[in-house]
Amino acid sequence: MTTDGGVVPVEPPDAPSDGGGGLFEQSQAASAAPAAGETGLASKLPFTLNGYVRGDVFVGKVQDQNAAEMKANYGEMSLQLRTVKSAYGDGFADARIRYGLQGAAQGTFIDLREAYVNTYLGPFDLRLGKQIIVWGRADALNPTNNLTPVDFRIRSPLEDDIRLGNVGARAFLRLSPVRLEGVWLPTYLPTELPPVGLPPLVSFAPPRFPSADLRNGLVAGRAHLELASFEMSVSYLRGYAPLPGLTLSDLRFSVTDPAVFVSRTAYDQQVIGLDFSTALGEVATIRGEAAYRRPFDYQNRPWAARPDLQYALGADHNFGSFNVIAQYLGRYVFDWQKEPGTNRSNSDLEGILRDPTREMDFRDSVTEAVNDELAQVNQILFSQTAQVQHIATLRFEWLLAHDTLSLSSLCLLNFTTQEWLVTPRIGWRASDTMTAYIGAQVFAGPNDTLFGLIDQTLSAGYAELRFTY
Amino acid sequence: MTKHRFAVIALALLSPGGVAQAHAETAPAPREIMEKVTLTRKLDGSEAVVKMTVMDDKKQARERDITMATKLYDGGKTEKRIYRFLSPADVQGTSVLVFDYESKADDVWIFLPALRKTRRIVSSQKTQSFMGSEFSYGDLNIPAIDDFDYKLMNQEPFGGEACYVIEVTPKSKEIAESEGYSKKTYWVSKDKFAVMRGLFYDKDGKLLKELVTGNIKLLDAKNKRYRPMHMEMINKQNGRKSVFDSSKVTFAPNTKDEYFTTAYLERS
Repeated sequence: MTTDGGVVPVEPPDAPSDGGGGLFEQSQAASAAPAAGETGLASKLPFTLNGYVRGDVFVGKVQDQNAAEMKANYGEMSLQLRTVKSAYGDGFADARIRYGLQGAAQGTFIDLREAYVNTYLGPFDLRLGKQIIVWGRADALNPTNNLTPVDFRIRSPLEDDIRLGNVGARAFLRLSPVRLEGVWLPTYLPTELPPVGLPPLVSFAPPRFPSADLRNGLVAGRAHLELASFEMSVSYLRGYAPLPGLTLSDLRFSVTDPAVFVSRTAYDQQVIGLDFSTALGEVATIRGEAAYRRPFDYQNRPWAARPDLQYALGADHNFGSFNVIAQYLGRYVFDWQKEPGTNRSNSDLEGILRDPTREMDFRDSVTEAVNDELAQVNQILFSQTAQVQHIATLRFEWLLAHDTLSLSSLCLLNFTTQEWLVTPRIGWRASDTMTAYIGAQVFAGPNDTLFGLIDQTLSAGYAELRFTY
Repeated sequence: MTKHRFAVIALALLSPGGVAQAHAETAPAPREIMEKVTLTRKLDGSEAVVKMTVMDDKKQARERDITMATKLYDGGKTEKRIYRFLSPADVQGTSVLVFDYESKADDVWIFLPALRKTRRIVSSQKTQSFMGSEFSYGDLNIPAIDDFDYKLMNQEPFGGEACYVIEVTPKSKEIAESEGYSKKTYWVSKDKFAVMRGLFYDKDGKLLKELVTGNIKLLDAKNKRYRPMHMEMINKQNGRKSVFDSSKVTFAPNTKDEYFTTAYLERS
């Protein structure tokens, strides 16, 4: 019976199928192929194209002034290509073309974000190509996630948009309930930082990143245990950390153009990790994650982080359509000492650098002063400005108007360093294709912290219109 | 038997309650009817493609294409289900895995492409809307028989089928809160033990939603298992309507076990 009073006839019984049917997989393959009956070029293509077009504007504060400026504004197109699924695998690519202002740069940015092929051979899955890999079951901050980098220069309402893909292989061997995972990323790709203002006279020299030698590749393994009521994994990683430190590259003694050249310099490390999640009845989901990170030869490499242990424990619960994730994170830095920086003033150092006749006598002392300053900056970059840190995060999302309106935010507070972050956002799904976002990303912290370093550069309000196809 | 006593019995039989009483004597117990309904919903395995249409009070529609697979384990006490959204583009790849147990809380995981990982979630939110539709998660789950009291109200036809009309009430306030309904009334086909119609009442006892099913398909002839290919849920208080149309369904007892793993969820 339909609600208009008509009677729907009952069909005669179907002959049951004996086999696995295949409809579930076939329908996924079909969704990546032109619709049945479609004629013309679309029906001949063994792939589908999805993606989006969006326009964004980010407005923030001018550094050290009481004025507003554009932090980013751009139009962007994303093309996501999915091949038809075959018996042995499929392919995926995501290319983005963006024109606009990004930090200090204005122009066209083209990014082949991901391009990989999956192959499925019984219990063995392999993904080869440029790909983004995310590890860790905690929310927001993942101590075990040290594989593919991020680009903080990319401004977007969505956290995933700042992730960068790297070329490599990722493989799984399924021996249920255990699943083994291996990752190999042979070439290094660094995390990119926002254009933080450098002190006077300081410029970037070419970075010191590892060569394409096979010995410099990142290798990682993870063993998952996946049970109905509980899942966990243990992991090991050896390779170059995505976020490099800074080293002194050169000094230029010159009357007219003195300079200090610093280079972003990568360091390699080992990371042992663990994570888990389970449910507490119908009350909450509990998640935990921990990682011990040990850079190689850190005592002789001031551009490397100190060994540390990071751990997170959180819970999430739904109050109707209101979801909350609350989490505690801790950090303990081994072999820690406070880096005080140099006690020589910038004007003092500048005076020496502007006098080439003093180079022979003062080069070593200037080098030492700059290295002391870089040690402090590196400590800030690696968020190791205190030996023990206590951090809390709270993420919430409230779905309204039949899931078309979303009010959400991530809030982070570091009780030890007084850094904090809040990212309120309103998202409205006007239709299945059109979404609008307005929100803000606000960073704050004392001057000798990472958030204090980037707050004026990154803090901004934004608006976005996105059409998805 | 005296004339007087015969008259009393005749009057009792002729009254609506009396007729029902007479028919009820030949009908199974209402709990038994609902147990058969629960059993009928359980297929050893199935695979389907479903279109979900959500219509607002202005008749503007949003469509979701979903593919799903189900399979019974533990002698029928556990049903595992996986749903994967095929369209539209902004939800494509979102997948949900559910282990639905008879006697304990479900285990549920969701894979969101934007997160790039699988997240375990709690299953408690039975009252929560499924993807913005008028179906709640509780409406789509197999209910726990022991949580409710059952009463046979009537027997009348609906949708071309002779039906038992069963009133279902939660046994406790906590169950009512968890379900979001103070009472439900089902029209159950006598022949197929499939729900043809449902009325759902809110906590104040007012009619909240109406469920109408159609195109009841026999999927497992050996065990007489039926499934409706068409389900409409109409919200009587706000005028919104949601429809599930199963364009393709197969009875698939040998559907692959690997579908019901978190590893498969992440294979988007």
